[in-house]
Amino acid sequence: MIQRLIEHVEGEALLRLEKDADGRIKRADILFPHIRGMEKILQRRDALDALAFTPRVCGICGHAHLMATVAALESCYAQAGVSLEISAKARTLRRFTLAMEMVQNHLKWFYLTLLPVVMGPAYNRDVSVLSAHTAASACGRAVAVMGGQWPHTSYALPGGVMCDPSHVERLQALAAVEEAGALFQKRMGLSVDAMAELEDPALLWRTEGDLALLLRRLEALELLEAGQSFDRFLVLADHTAGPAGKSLKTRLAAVETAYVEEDEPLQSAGYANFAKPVRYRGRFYEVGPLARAMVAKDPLVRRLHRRYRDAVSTRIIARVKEAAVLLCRSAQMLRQIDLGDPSYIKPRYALRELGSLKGEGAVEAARGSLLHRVHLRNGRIARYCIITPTQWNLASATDEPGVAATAMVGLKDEKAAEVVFKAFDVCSVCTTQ
Amino acid sequence: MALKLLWLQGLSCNGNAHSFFNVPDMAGVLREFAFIYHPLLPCEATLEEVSGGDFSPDVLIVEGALRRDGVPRGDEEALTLITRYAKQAKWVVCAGQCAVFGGIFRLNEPDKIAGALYAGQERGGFLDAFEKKIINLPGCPVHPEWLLFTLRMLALGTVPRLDDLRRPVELYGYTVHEGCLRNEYFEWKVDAKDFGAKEGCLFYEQGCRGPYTRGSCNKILWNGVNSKTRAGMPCIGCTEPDFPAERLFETETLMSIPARLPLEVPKRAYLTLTGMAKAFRIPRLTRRKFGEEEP
Repeated sequence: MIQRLIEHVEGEALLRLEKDADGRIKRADILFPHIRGMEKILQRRDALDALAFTPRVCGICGHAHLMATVAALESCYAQAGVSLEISAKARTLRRFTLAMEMVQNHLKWFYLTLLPVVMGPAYNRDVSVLSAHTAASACGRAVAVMGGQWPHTSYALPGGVMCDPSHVERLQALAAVEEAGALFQKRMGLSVDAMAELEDPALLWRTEGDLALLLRRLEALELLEAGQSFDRFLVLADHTAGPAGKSLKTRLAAVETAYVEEDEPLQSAGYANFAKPVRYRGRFYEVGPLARAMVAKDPLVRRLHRRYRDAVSTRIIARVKEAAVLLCRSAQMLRQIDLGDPSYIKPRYALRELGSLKGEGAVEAARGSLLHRVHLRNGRIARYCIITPTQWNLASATDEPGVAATAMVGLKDEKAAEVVFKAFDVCSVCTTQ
Repeated sequence: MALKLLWLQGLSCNGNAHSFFNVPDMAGVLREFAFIYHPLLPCEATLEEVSGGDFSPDVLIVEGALRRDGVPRGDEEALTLITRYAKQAKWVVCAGQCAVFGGIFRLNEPDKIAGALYAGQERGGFLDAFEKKIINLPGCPVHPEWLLFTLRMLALGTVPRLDDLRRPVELYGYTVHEGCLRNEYFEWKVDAKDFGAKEGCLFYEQGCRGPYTRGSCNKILWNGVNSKTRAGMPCIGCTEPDFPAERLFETETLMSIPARLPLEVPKRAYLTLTGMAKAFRIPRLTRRKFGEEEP
């Protein structure tokens, strides 16, 4: 048994690897040893306070938690038969700021998590940190223009958003999107438009840029095809770049959140673990940019999938491409917003006037489908349940290995395991919250 | 010599680490400071090495709430690791609400989780023995430029002047209200009719805690461009020992007067002035800023 502490994954995770007689990985347990108790902390609080609390689940994708809370509370209104009017502007602003958070996540992951582990000594620390910084601070600024700050704004609420942008803010946000796009082009060697429209994988290898560098290095390490798992993909919510759905290999079908079920954390002798596995109709599914691209029938990712299936190369390229697609769509969204639309249309009733309610909100976050389920009693939270993307990808059950654990079986060593593991974009804090 | 920094975490969402990553001048940070360990930045050492080793940092930066056990970091408990390095460090900077007061995560087990010197509003944290070394930077998350300011002052060999909660006075001597673009509406007691408008003050209805919350959010803007109250989100008081209060998005009132008044403003003074202000109608403050037309 080999134990390895994986660091710089929004906290840490412990990998316990068992090897077979040939030294290949036979079993991989992934353990997350802390819990902060957000679901319990939310109990008995005023429903709207969740807008301030749930973003604090996670420092890198907290905005997605805000949007999931808003969606869950708005669905409580729907359950009570109270229709809410949300302006097109408010919907677009919510999608825009969420997209910006996703882009900063993807580029930070690429430069701070993935490159160091794949490139080894060939990795240039300062260039990587400064690239991640430029992208992340531009995207953070774009969120702040609308939401006041990033991280941890709570500027969206049932009925709309709290901000009231003018053309000044629109142009500030657009400049930030363009700054992130310029960085992407400079480092990846392709404009965001070219990347968003790219269909031929061969072009990626021929482009001079950080992605090509990484792919060639993966090729040299014989890891392009590593990390295949169940080849099942799940997208619980419609999102900026495509629809909800599931894909069994390439076969598409509709999804219903009612089939999502949590289980008890994997027990591994002598070590605490709080990561609850989650299944859809009893089966594990991968969530995240690869899942979204498969369900959206993205031509580039579908072609890669034909060759590498759900391997690290497909997973990595899907995430980098998604950053480009989101940057393109973000610029379009900003241009299309009708600033004369109302930002907020007050619901006819407060939640405390509506008695006992159940709601649910699904959002596509940077790492995949995020689901919040809430029970309210007279405007107070009776129960709050948070199911995060990293639970889908990383958590195993005691009787069945999960998506990432399966992806690591058969790998030749711990180094390969770390690459495959980090390619999922691990978030330790979200996995257990 | 670059100041040697060691960033360690207790119970945390990683939000302070990400907030700090938004500093405007990362090239300067990389040049001026040597990070022994930081949760995001590639560093000299791994957490495993830090946990087994002895790195004598100049400044220990603590993120997250503390608990005696149940929070493993590397090969040991976070508190053991943090205490060991707090002994070695010249300064201990508590970055963010959780490290200072325990923050939101303290609510899970209020009798077991606390900050460095405080358990919520009471004294009694886990690093009391190092009080004289501690600089508190509350906020959820910490403002990146407040932290950078503090580190740069220490690099210059100057300890920023601290108040009685060991916060730098030059950062926490302001209220969040100061510098808010809605100040004129506050002066003339024009409340925001609802969320989603750039006009009106959020103190009267929407729960804004800016007038009694310490912090320079509206002096040193967030992400270089904005603040929550400027954008239209009420201040939720995330730098204060009583954070998080109940019902953050509505103003608690007593006889239709806000239950909490601006810092150190007596009720009589508040009633006199607001009574006067309300007696006048300032047409400019009752219209939309850019006129009634669509912008």
